[in-house]
Amino acid sequence: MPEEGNPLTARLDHWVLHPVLGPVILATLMFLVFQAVFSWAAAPMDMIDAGVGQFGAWVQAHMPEGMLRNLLVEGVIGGAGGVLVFLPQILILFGFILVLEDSGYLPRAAFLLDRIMGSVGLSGRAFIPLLSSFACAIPGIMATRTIGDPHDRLKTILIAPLMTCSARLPVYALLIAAFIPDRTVGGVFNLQGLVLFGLYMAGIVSAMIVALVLRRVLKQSEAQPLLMELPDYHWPHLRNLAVGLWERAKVFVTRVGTIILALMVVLWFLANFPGAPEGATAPAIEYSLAGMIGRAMAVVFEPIGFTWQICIALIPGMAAREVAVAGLGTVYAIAQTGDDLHTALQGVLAQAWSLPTALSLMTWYVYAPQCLPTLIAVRRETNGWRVPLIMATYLFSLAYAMSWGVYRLALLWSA
Amino acid sequence: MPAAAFFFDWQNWVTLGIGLVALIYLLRRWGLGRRPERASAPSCGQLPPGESAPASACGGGCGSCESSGMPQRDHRITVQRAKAR
Repeated sequence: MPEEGNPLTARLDHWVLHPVLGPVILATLMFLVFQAVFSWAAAPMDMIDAGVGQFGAWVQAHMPEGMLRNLLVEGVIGGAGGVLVFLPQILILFGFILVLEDSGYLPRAAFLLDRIMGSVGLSGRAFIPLLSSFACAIPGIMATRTIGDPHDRLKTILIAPLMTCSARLPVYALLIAAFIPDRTVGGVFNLQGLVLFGLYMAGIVSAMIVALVLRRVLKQSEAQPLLMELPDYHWPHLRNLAVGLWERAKVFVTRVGTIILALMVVLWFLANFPGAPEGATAPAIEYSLAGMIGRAMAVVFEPIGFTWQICIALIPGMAAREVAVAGLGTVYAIAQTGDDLHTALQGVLAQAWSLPTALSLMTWYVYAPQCLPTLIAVRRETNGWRVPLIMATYLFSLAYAMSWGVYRLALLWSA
Repeated sequence: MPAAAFFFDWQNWVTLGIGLVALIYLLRRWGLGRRPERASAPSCGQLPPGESAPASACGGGCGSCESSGMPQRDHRITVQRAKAR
């Protein structure tokens, strides 16, 4: 803790680094960030959603009927276009993180959390990899190279995917907007923001519990002290903030325009071929290759409330978590016909799914390693398939068990 | 759709082309046909003589990535001592 230097920093640190008040201030700050993610993003999200919807309607009206029009409306606009809607929420979340980082608060957060992390057997050096995992687990896993002890490093790698990465945000945002009413709790708090905060906390608390279990399984090394410089507080530089946000936006839009778009095109083909037989009454997707795969998977996922449409979306969602949103957009756009077709996915889901199913899927996304690149990164970092296989097994098992529990509880509650 | 109608509709051909491009893009992205990467890149110091390290291996800014020669830049700090009068 700085003894000398800037008097304002010393005065603020007296409260911010207080053993009791410090964690309370940190929790309150994070809570407010998640409130803002839902409250502030509503207007720009509605604008993008309306723009995407109008563009889809324009293409539908002006292009002659045919396969290309269907691909553009259902796969490209209904699928990949639907993911663009979540750009404002991602920018608001990262805007807050950048402000906290640039103001000098983030190293204090590391200092505050070090004690908690130490109590569950994590090295002080695990903070930076775990913090990086909130953006994406891959740089977080790569950042574990700074942890010298192999057991500590392994523990950090195994829990890094439980930190809520930014790719989960579109999935959470879609399901929360569709199923959690937009109302105020206790006169102040937005219920949707509260649920989002709960999902982030569920990931963090679960990671700490898993670390505690691993502490007993793996050999405990000697505690490594966390040494870091606490800079003086200062106002964030607007230029840094603008550059950081621009980079985030560029990464997100590039992902939508490349991998998500390509996956949606392939999914559209799988969901349209082979076509429906003569005299078929159900939507064509039910007879397609994707429909067959979805129905086969539904046998396994039915006990946790997943429909065959969710099962289809989970497959491309293995490439990147947010692709599941685009997948659902494509699947439901194909399943609807004529006048029913619209791009407001949340309205469709609210009608098609029950609340227990939505809660179960949210829980699934807290735990499931729905990201192949993360598993590949773990293989590279650990020089083999043993650790990624252990990771995938424990995370899928945890995801299934937790989703089953949440689904059953929600069914009992809603009965 | 009859095969002849499918053949003469330009939209079908463009759609199939887009599908093919998307598939090729994904296969290339996921490294199909590429040489497998080394499990962990060795640092410049671990390499046998005459072999070069990949650019991603060090990142220390020495400028000698892809070359087994001496570092091109010296990042060590040289303390300038004042000459005794």
